Amino acid sequence: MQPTQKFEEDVAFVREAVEKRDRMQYNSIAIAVLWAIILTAGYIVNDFRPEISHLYWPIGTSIGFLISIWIGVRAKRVEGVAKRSEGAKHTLHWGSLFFTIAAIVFIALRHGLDGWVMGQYITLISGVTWYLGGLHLDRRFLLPGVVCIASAPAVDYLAPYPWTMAGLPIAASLIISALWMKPNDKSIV
Amino acid sequence: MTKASSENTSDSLAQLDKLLEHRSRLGACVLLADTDAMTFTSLKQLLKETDGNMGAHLRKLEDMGYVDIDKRFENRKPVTWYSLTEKGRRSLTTHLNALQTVIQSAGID
Repeated sequence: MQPTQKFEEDVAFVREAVEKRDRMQYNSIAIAVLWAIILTAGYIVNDFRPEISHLYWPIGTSIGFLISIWIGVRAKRVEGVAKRSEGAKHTLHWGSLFFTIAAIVFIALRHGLDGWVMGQYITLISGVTWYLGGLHLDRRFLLPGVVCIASAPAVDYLAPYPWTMAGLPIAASLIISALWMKPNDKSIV
Repeated sequence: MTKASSENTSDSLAQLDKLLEHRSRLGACVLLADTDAMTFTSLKQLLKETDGNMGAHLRKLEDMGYVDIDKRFENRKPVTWYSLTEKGRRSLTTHLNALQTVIQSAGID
C-alpha cells in the first residue's frame, strides 16, 4: 500500500469518527417534554386562571431554564464529551430570551400594556429565539419556532380558549421535532 | 511530480509525527482537539477499539505528554476523562499540516 493511500484512509477513518460524534448529540426529548408541559400549563393558566399568570410564567420558566441546564450538563456527561464552549453558546442564546422577556415585562408594566398583548409579544419573541436557535444551534428548534411565531397573532382569532388552542400546537411541535427530526448541533447556514 | 514538489513531499514526510501515524492515536487527538475532554469509553466507541488497545494508545499519548488524564467517580463508577495538552495540540497541528501537504502532493482530495 502506498503511504499516501494509507494517509488517505486514515483521514477518512478520523473524519468518520468525528462525524459519528457530532451525530451522537443527545436526544433532547426530556427538555422538549419539560417545555411542552411548562408551556401547555402556562397557556391553560392564561385562559382559566389569568389572575395567577403573572406568577406562573416567571416562576415556571425560571425553574424550566435551570432544569434544562441540568439536563443538558448531565446528558453531556453521559455522552462522554465535555465542551464548555457549546454549553456557553446554548446558555447565552436561551439566556438572552430570558432577559428579553424580562425587558418586555418591564416595559409593559411601565406603560400599562395589556397582559394579553404582552403575552403575544412574549410568544412572538420566544418564537423568533427558537427559530434562530434552529438556524444556529440545533435545527429541531425550527418547527417550534415557526409554530410559535404563527401562534402569537393567531391568539386574537382563536376561541373559546385562545391561549390553550395556541399553546397546544407549540407543545406538540416541540415533541414532534425532538422525536422525529435528526439531531444536528451544527449550524445549517 | 517536479523535483521541487518531491522535495516538499520529503520534507513533509519528515515532519510527520510517528506517534500520530496510527489512526486511532491520530483520531483520539483530533476528537480531543475541539472538545475540553472526552471519556475513555466515548473515545473507544468512536474509534472502534477494544479496551486494551485503546488503553495502550492513550497511554502512549500520555507518556509523550500529548494528553492529560482526569480520573473521577461519577455515580460511584470510575470515569477517565482525557484532554489534549498544548504539546499535543502543537504536534497534531504540525502533523496535520504535513499530512495535508503529502496528500496534496499526491493529487488526492
